[in-house]
Amino acid sequence: MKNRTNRILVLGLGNEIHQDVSIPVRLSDDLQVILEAGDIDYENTFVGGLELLEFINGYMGVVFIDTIKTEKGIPGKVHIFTVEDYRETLHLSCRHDVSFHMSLKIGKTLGFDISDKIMIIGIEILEDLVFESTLSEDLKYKYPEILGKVRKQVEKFRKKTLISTSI
Amino acid sequence: MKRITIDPITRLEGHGKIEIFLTDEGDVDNVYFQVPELRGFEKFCEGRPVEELSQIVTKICGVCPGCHHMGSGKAADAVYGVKPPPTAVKLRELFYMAHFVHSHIAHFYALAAPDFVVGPTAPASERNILGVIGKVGVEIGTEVIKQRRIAQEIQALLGGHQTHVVMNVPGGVRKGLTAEQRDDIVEKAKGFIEFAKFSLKIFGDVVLGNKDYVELIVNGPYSLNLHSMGMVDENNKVNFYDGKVRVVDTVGNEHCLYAAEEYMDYVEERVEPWSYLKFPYLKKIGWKGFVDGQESGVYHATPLSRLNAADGMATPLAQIEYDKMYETLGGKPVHATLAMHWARLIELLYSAEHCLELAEDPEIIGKDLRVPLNNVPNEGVGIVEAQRGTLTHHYWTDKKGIVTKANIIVGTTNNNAAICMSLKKAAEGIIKKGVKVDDGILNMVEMAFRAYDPCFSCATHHQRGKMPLVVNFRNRDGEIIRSARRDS
Repeated sequence: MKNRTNRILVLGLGNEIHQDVSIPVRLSDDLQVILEAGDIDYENTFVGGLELLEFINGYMGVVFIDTIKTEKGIPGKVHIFTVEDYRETLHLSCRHDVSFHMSLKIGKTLGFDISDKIMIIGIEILEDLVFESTLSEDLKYKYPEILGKVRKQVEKFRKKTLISTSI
Repeated sequence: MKRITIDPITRLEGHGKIEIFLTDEGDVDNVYFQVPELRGFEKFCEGRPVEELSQIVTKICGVCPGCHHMGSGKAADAVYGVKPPPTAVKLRELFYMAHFVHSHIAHFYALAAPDFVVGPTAPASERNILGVIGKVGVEIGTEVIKQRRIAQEIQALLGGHQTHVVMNVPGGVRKGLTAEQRDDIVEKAKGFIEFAKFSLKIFGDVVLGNKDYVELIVNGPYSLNLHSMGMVDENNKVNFYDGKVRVVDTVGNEHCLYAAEEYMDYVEERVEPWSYLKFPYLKKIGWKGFVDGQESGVYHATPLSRLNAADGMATPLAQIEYDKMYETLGGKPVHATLAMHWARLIELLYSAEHCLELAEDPEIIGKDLRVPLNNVPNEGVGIVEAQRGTLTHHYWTDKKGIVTKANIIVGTTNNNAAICMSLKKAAEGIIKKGVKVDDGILNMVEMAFRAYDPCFSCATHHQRGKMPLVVNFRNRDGEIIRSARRDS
């Protein structure tokens, strides 16, 4: 495993063939291209729960990008959560093992190096049951704006994490 | 009539809802296990080149992608009328054993163990994997995560990616294994065996060492007299990757033994208006309703049914545990639903042993990885045992190999009727007049389906929310008279 001590992970949780559920993967891939490589690693996966521990172990900070469905939510809205005010996104918890919070608790109990610097970005979507390899028309149109917002958040998080760590 | 709704169910992948209808006296009148979402993945397969399907189907969900990859890969072989060379078959199997190790460890420690190690009626806040770690120790918890990770590493090495596998191509596999990589897997497989033995010891100490639990397994409201399905090799031993599907009846006699391409002669699916998930049954017996017994067409396809359907295990240590289970539970076949957990651990040991056997096989580092495709593609069926039951992929293509139709019978789908019946039996045995329906009581009802390790993502999709259990008590007019909610 490469040294993660002074690095940040951006983890996209999505599925490329589930229409709008694919947006975190697209965002993570695009951020990798437009942001300076520097101290950020990019990964994608589809399942959360226990699986997350191996991904985030040892990182100085972690940004999860997931999709979310809220009541009367507007597709494309970018939600920002911390661990404390986290509202359930679609894939950070795994129904087949444990919830997001439980996975973090287990990680800490078992001595994993789990950073306290975690940001969760939830992209509001309307539909999560459609198999399609492209985004819906609505999100396709809004994608540049979403990417811009997510980019700003990741840059802000990176700056904040680096400053707090250097202090 | 009162109505209790458990929606959504905890520790279950995909959507699902339990509806319990009570009589005015407070006894259970009927139980429905509903999957209220539409599937439709087969439609997505149409129009795609058949060689792409083994990669596409891994994205149905992230829980058992390896099973779909294998079932699909075998179906694509059949579409082209080819048989992969021995090295390719062994590499596929090696991957598959690691997949089983990974999945069975997760089910036992995260889903099953909380009910036994912490206790079926323990507070929900403690009845989880953290509660299990609290009881068995942090070192064991660390080992659980470690062994899962190692199994994932083997899958990633062989499959190209641990979840979205790209290993299979029609007629073989994309890449081989070096001697150095093989040596590493040998050591890892030895670790799997030790961990599987340890897990069986925990089961022995915690479950079999507790007479109340044994009583619950053997005489509790969790038994169903069903036919058993499972894949067997040429010696009728359990096999997850290849062989024929065998069904034994409720007393252990062979009902049928069929090759993949014959499945439609033996299994038929029916629909009910209250669920999107189909209900397969044994065609030669016919659908007789949601009833168990020798005359019923309902079967189950689970770790326990696989052991019931076979004459034994193909590896020595698993065989010892197999004999022990049947000796303890009174001989074959076993119909105790909760014994599925025990059977699953025996399968974990088999997977670990077979992983080592395959890794030590000189052919595993062979260079002959694929046969040429010289036949015109047409139609093919691939069957493997998924962790949750027998998995069938059936594809029809045009002459260019473009899929024109697909049928997939997912592991859990086989058990749809059995799960409904198990829930009803558990509810009838547990919820009675005068019994306060609290969180512990509802969990004991849920234990009936949890044993099947059901996963509806293949049929539906992931569920959001805080994994709450919402219970609505309704009067005969359907009005809610009381609501209870808990978070896991």
